[in-house]
Amino acid sequence: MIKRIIHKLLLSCQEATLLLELKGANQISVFQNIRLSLHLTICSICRIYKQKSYVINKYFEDKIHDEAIDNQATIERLKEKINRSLSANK
Amino acid sequence: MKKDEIFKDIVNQYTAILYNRANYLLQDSDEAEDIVQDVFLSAYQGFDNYQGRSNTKTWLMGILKNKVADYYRKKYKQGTSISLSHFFDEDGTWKQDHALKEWRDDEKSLFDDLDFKRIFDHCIDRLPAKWSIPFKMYYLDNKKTDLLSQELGLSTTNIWKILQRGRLQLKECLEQNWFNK
Repeated sequence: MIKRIIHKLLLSCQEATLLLELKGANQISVFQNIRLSLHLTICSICRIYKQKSYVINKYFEDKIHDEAIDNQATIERLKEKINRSLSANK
Repeated sequence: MKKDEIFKDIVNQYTAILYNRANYLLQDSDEAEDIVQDVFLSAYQGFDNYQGRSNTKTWLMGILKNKVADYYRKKYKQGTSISLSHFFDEDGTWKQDHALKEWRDDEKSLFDDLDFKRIFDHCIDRLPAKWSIPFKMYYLDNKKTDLLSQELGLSTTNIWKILQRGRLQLKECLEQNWFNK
């Protein structure tokens, strides 16, 4: 019951997951952060979601650094296409 | 060296990296080819102004980013409505019980697992482009949402919502295809 009231008055799970995005980008305000922390104290589902969103975040942060080149044939064909179109546009 | 020769070297050296980035962002190999070709045309035209101002890769990646942003603005100019009713009820409370289930491994062991990475990439591919492009650019732009909002013509509020919606969907896809399998 208390949980329900706090969800209603303070912050819903839907709003909490949005504030987690702001927090992840370091753009959460002091007041929003207090509301979010209070919500997380009482809401285990959102605490678990926070962990999961952290894993997803980390994956994207790591991904930026690995840019594998997979299809050499496509690349070679594309290079020729680009060189042709550059000659045509001179 | 003449401009044309220098430029041929540039094409040779940077086509792969630009194509991979474009393909990653657009999830469409034909669109990626077109946009890379377009990047080199613009680069060739602007070459005299550019020479030596910044690192070549940074310069080309910057042009690519602008082209992707143009593409996004044109394609999604009517805006996007974002519904969360799949995940939350009218009170904003979680709908799904499995949201309660923790993921079994920490990210370190997960990211060492090639099968997990394959599933993760598959889940990224399954995001609709109207969400996945801002989502990916958010990370490529080092989370500078003000910049991203200008580039894509979206309000920052909408960017937060897209990030939230995209992340919820990725979470669900990972659970369906990996954690709860």
